[in-house]
Amino acid sequence: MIPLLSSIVFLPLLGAVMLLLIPSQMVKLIRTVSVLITGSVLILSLYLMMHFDTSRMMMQFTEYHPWLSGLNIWYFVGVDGLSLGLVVLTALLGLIACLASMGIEQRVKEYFIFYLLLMTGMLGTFLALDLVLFYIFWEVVLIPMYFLIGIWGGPRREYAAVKFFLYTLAASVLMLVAILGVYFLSNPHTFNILELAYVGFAPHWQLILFCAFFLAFAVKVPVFPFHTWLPDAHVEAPTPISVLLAGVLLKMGGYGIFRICLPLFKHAAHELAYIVGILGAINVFYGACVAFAQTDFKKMIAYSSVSHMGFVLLGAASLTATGFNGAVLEMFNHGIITAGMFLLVGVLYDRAHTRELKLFGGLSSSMPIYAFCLTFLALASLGLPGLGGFVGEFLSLAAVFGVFPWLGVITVLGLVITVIYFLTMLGEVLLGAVNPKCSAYQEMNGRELWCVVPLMMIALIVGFYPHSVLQFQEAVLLSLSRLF
Amino acid sequence: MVDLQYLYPELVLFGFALISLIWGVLSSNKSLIASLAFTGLICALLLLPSTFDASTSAFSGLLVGDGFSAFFRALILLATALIIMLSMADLDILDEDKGEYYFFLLSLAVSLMLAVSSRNLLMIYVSVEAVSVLSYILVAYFKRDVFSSEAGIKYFLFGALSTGVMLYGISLLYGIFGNLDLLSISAAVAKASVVSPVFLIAIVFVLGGMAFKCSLVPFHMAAPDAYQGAPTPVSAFLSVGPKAMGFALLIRFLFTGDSPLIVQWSCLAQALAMITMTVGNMIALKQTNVKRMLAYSSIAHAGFMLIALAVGTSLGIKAILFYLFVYVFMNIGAFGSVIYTNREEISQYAGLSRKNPYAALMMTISLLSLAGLPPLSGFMAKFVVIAAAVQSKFYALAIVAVLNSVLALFYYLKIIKMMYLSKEDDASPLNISSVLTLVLTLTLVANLFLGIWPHGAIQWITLP
Repeated sequence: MIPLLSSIVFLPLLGAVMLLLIPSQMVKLIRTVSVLITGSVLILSLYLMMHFDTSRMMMQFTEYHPWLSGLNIWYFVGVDGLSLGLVVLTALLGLIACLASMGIEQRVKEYFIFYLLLMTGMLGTFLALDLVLFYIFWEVVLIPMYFLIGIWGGPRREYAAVKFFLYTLAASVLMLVAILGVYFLSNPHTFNILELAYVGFAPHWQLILFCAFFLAFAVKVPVFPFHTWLPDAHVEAPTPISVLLAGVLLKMGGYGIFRICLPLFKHAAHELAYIVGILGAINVFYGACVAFAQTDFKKMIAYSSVSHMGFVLLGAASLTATGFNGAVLEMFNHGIITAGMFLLVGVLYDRAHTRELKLFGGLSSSMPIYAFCLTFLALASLGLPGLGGFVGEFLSLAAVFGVFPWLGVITVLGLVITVIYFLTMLGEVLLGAVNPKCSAYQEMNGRELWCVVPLMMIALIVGFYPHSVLQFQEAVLLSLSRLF
Repeated sequence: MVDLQYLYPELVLFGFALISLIWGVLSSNKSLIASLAFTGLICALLLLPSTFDASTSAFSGLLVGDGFSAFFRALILLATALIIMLSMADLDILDEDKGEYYFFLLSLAVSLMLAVSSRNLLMIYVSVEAVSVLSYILVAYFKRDVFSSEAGIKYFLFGALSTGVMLYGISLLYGIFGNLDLLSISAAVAKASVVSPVFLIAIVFVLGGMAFKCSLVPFHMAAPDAYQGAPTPVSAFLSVGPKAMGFALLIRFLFTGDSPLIVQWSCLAQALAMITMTVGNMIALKQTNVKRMLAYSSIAHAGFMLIALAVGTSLGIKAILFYLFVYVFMNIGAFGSVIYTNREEISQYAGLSRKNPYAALMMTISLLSLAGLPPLSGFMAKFVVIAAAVQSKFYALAIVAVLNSVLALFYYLKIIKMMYLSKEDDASPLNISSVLTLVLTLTLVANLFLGIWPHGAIQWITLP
């Protein structure tokens, strides 16, 4: 029996090693191998999803081997309802962004090597159940991301790449101290995340450790006021990397809160829930306001991510099963929808070489299919009932109104602004007087379309039949909420 | 004769050193001398296991054959072997090579090995002095190069002062205890009820001499000049060999006996660790010369290792040993890449990843490992050190340490940024040689292997 989870995690690494051996002139072969590898990862993760037992809230497909026995570090991976959705999301976006990367012409070999290394880091983070293993995968993500933004990015790529790297590293090194703190405070000493959930840490330690972990995750989410790296990174990153950044990397932060902060430090979670909730509400409201003020299409979507990730915090802060379900579903939906949005921004940028919203107009007559896709995803993103975004936001919001009504009010205000800026954007880009420059733009080609269509279909399916995703996560999140 | 058996590796090594000196005078075949020196090292390394006997002490207690000295002797031999390979490829040394270079290098290795296997302050002093004199000569080895000579003089002035101070401290200790054996000094200290000021001064003086060898702040001033001016292989060796010796001596001095000195001196070590790390990293940020930057980085690394010393537990000591072992590969990898790329200014690294992807990769892996990013070996080393600190509840120290590693990343990243992100191209030729490729590949494998699967190397370290 082949270990399924290890295959999913290390297949991209194997691909990267294979690419290393291919001469860099053979661009076609390099692209084919990369697509095949990311495609196989997706197939494996779909297989994982089929064979996942939704009724069990335990870890499944676990692999547990001694790694550094002296240091008590184990190679321990497993999947449950919380991580399954994110693994499938990562695999799906991994393939789509890989297809979207076919337009990369410069230093193709290096690009795909870094890309595949990034995949290994992201998948490993979602599957690792040993704190040190988790930390290693978490940090492994940084190096390829630095290069992917720094080499293939826009004009200010160096600044954006360094800022991203140092920001996230500075926050996560404290997590390393916290991990060791958790180890030495637990009895018997262990790095095993599942066992640590049963260790009751002393209340004052819980507060400190919660904050140390939360800081690392907050920078990734990103939580206001640690969000400033995000717009820079997003604007400078090439389209496929923006897709992964918004679709997967931000979820690593949310996932960390659910996997580590809440179950390990229950008392602290209770004490600090209000603060987390306030931060969430600020994210929603502030993110929406700033997005409204943007004139750059991509920056607007970047800030809308800040706004949407606020719902994840709000759901977590509610400490109820409804809120948790909403938050985790929102992570999945945001991954799908925002990835699609970034792809569409990329499509426009490839034609216009600008992202200034003012410079477009009347695109719906020259690019009707594009106009349909953009409208569809924008409506999904602003939370139109019947599309994916609505369900997660509604569940989070419903839970928040039950616990912190005032935060709910602020959040709803943020939602109103969200509706305004998305509709304004649609009006500016698609409607109005036809800009003569825009009339010559080519309609989306097959590759571009087929990258977006699956995402739109998923958004539709989740919108009409949320149970299709919720069924995987319900059991485990219910048991998590019972802890509080 | 039994005592002499203990010294076989050193004797063989010194024999080879003499042969290469004479050979250098008689013959002009330069590459042969390097191979000769290398053969000597291999012989010494092969002889080393036979001398290892935990209970031996030779020459009436001047030398001890415990596992601790065996570890350091092996480490020094390993580092010297790598350095000889680097020297074979260094263009400037090839020009000046007269055979005495390898004589000095091997003699330096012998003195280092004697220093780490001694528990007697007199023996320690004699070997440290020998190490110092040989390092001054090696730093100033380029006789016609102004920078090399200046570096040698600076290194000499600081070094002579610090060993002088150390000797004064040792004489005070002898005056107080009438003995120079660390075990008996420690036993006497344990019995003494009142600590005299003279004793404190003596300890501070001895520690100062050792701190110079580890390049701890405030004894770090000469190191950057020395590293920058010295032949690159010598800089690499200075950052590894004498540093390992310095820590070995600190550990011997502070940890010998049943009531070790570290208990009282931990506070000082903690403060020095924090200051050394921060100062080293802060100044490294500003550097434009790679060798100088690596010098400051090596100061910062010494501060990091000092954390584990300040902790004062057996886990801490093991952490230092593992760190030093890993550090040999990381740092020689970085200095080796400097020789390979034949570039000393950071700006010269522009566009190297396109010109020679192999060189850029080797440099990147070494630097990221020095920065302590997983899954490279530098991370494992830092992990164990921080684990030791957290275990003993030195949280502030651990936090300062990890924040420092972020600071450090900033300047390592400067070179990586030049190599991969810069659009410009620098046309300076590379120094591609097969020996160097071998060394770099070895350090790469070690960097990856010790990070991902350090099983054999880390087995003796256990978290409780």
